Amino acid sequence: MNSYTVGRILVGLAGAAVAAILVFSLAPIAFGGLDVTMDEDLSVEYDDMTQTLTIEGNINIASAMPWDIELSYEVVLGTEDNPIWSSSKSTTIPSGQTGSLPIDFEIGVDDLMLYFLTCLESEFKSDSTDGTFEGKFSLPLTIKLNGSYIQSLVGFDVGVGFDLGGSAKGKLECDEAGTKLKSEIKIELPEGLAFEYECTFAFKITDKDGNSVNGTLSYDGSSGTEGVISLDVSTDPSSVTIAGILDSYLNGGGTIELNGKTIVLTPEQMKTLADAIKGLLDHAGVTL
Amino acid sequence: MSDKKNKDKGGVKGAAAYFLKTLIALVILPLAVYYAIPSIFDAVAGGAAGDIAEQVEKLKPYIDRIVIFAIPLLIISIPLGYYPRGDKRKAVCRIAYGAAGAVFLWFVTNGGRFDLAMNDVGLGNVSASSFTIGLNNTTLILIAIVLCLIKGLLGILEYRCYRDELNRSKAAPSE
Repeated sequence: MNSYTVGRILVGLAGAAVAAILVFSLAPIAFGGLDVTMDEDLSVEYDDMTQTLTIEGNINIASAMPWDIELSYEVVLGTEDNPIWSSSKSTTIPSGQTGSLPIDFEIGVDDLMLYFLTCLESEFKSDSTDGTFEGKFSLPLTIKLNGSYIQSLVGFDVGVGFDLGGSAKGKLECDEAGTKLKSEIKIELPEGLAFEYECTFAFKITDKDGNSVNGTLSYDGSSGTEGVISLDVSTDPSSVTIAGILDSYLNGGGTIELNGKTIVLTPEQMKTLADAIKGLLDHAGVTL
Repeated sequence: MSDKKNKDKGGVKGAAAYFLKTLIALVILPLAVYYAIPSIFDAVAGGAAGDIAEQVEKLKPYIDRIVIFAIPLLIISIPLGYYPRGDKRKAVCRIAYGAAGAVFLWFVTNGGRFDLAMNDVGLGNVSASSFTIGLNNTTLILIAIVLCLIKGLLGILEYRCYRDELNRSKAAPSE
């Protein structure tokens, strides 16, 4: 037996070992060794005091795998470019046992509303400039479950995407002077997802000269799967137009307050918000 | 004696044998499995075969990749089988075959990553808009690629081991 034959046998044996590991590591998972389920009903609670939305539930994992499994999950609400909230947790599921990954996240309703406002214009289509509009809006929820076993030799991931958005229609009305704006938007949420709460938050956009756009944005979900978002905006002093203050804010800077709390927006968020407001005003027949 | 030691004498027969071996292992066998799975499940599981066929259909891109990346291996297999052991050109072909095999493994297995998208999955009462399952075997595939490259480099050892024997058989063609 020469050295070439020995080399071939060794490589062949190593190849067979790799193939065997591949088959033995994948077979249990391919034949249902891991059963991942989610709680039928996620608990959605709204805290009026903190104005936060708490969503709780469990990802349940029953493992029949012959190895311990390292698991982690990441939940992202909003788009990848514009996430509202994200969270991650990890755990180990011992071989042949059942475990769960708790989902419990708190979202500020102001964050949700801001997201809604920014995606409102980009998602909506309007054929008219009389202030009426209708369309669909998107609120993606992505759950990513990552797992590995045999010293991370084999990994797997499960990604589930939900669109918690729905359809919406509404009307925007602006006074002739361009200092007051009112809107009522009716949104229809997907079946199985009801947000039966009422909440209101106030916002204030102040430009560098101290002129401000004051508004309230409220949500009434008491009727079940249909909710009503109301927007009421006015300027201070009333002699200055909404368009003028927004223009001044976008060009010269200023502050944004939500429920009395100053928030800092990234330049991208500011542009998105500005585009959304411009678009909404455009629907109402006001050109910035 | 020489024939016993060096069975791989090359020639047209050797080229055809290597080509067929590569064709069967890398193209015909995967295609047969791909097309046979729904029929097998039809015989075993009856009505569920429709669902299996739908899932198997998602493997089509992998099958296409197998056929595309098998082409260089099929081409190299012809000179690899044609030249006898101990020939320098066979060593070069073996190295090229190993390298092409490594490329084949990496691209066909998608770098050890296998993704499957599914429909009609729900969370409670809300339907999912997307559902994907991915398997990651990059480490094992990298090990397999290294083995493939080593197997290619064994061509040098093969050349060194059989060079003298080939020279002897060339010097005495009647034997």
